[in-house]
Amino acid sequence: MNKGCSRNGSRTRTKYTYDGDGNRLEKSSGNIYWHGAGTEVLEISTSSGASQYEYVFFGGKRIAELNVSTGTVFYYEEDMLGSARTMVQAGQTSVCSDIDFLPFGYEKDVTADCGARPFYKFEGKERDAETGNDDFGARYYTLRLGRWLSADWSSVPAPVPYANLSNPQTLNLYAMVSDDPESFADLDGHCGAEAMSGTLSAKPCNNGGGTPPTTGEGDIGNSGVGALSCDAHPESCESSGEMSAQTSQIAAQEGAKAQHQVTESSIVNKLTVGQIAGIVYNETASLTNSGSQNESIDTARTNVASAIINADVKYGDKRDELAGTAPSAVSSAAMKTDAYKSSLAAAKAAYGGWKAGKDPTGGATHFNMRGNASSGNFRPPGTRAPGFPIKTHSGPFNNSYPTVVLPARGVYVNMYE
Amino acid sequence: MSTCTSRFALLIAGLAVVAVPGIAQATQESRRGMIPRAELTQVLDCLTRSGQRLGLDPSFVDDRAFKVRYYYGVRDPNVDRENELHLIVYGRDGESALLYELLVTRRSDCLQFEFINTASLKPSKGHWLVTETLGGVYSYKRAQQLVDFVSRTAPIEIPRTEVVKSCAVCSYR
Repeated sequence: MNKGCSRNGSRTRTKYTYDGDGNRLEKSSGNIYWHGAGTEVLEISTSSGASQYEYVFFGGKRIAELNVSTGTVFYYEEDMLGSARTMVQAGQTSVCSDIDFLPFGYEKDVTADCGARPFYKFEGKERDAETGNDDFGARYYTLRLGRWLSADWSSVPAPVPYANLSNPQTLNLYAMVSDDPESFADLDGHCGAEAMSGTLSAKPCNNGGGTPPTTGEGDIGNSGVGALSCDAHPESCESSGEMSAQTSQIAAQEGAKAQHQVTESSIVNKLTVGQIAGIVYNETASLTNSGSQNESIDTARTNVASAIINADVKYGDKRDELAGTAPSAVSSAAMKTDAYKSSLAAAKAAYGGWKAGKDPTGGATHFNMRGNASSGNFRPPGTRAPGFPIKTHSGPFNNSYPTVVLPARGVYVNMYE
Repeated sequence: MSTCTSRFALLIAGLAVVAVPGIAQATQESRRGMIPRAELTQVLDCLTRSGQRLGLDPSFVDDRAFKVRYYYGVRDPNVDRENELHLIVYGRDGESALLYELLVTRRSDCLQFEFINTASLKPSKGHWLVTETLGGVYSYKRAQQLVDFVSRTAPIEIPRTEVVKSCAVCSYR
């Protein structure tokens, strides 16, 4: 086992017990962990089985905690890495815990008044009070070194477990997400996921219960090394049954008109539908519906996919050279997210529409995002008029990867000629 | 006196030991990623042509000279192309700038410039912030990385008189 017991300064020994999959079952100081179907902990009880805390997850993220004995509910707000940044007690208007994290997990500017919580801190993993280390499932991580306490491993023989041979950084078996913890989060002690994803999955990253990923996906998901092969990942190439009703309807209608079976391998010109989905995902993964948007994020993604298709057709063989979009590679972990499923459904819908001669963007080949409601042409100040005429204007959306320019709320997705 | 002199000599020698490698490194860095000045002036010729899409508004830049920074070539092997040029053109007001991404093709007769993207920039807390560009969250992040990188290259002034009409072929994707 790569994890063990702890002896703290007062010489009190704490013993951790795990199941065969590496999930923590018990802490001898008095906690029993109850897991859901995945690795997430849904409840923590006392050693006698009396429930202490219950947790609610939505979209793979921990969103609420119930203190069973007091009946108090706390809401979690996690950042793109899954780190618990703030907690708010139900019925209160101010946060009771506010923590900033340095890139490798050190807590900074801590305001904590929710008792001893949150237990789950950096990247949503439990930080053991006894050791200060983080339990990621497969391995322990120590923020003091910014390193894992044991080398990466796999349950089947592999020359370098979970390495991506096109990225030398992944050959360091002690490095945290290839030493790029601002861009990537680790899911389970093995696998990373793009921090842009608004729904980091806590599930294992591979499809074989320990089989290392193939070249191109490893610990970093977005290295621009090319799209994943459907042959290598058949599970990710099946049609998603979770697309929104609206996008599903568009895909069904347009696809039926085209009488064409859309698959990820369907080719527009240079791009496959799977690659288009990857680009859409990498550009829009952090956006979600705000509740007041003029059309859904699924529709906005379909517009983006249509613009990419239009550019693919327009630029022909020079598409790769002239494209200014994100790479199409998506990690297998990211493929499990709702944002990717929506992107794939959007790519299929756009492809179906294109085959049927329908283009919801009116011929757009460019898109962008704005942190304001302006529906003017794309014309950066200082450039000549008229710029690129605007075609469609969708939003506002919430953005779980906020920046100064693209805030957490009020982001619009625009298509241009 | 002689003690002072010897101390001064030691100080100079010490500074030389520290400074010379720094100068050598800076020189090496500045040579990497450069293109001939004549090619740079042709890029500016493209950007100031009246029909150029998203070209420079004449009132944006200084009457006397263009103030620019640029980097040519591969910055990040995962995403950059060998013939990619990243150019920042600073506005006359000092409060705005533009980032241009373009590809340079050296044909037998004339240079060809294919513009890929443009971003507007404004100063914020000591660095230049991308305020708008084409693309999504990924593209904004990449554009900001480009700006941060190019902002560390040497500033260049090119007199307007040096930018003359050329046979360069210019297009915007």
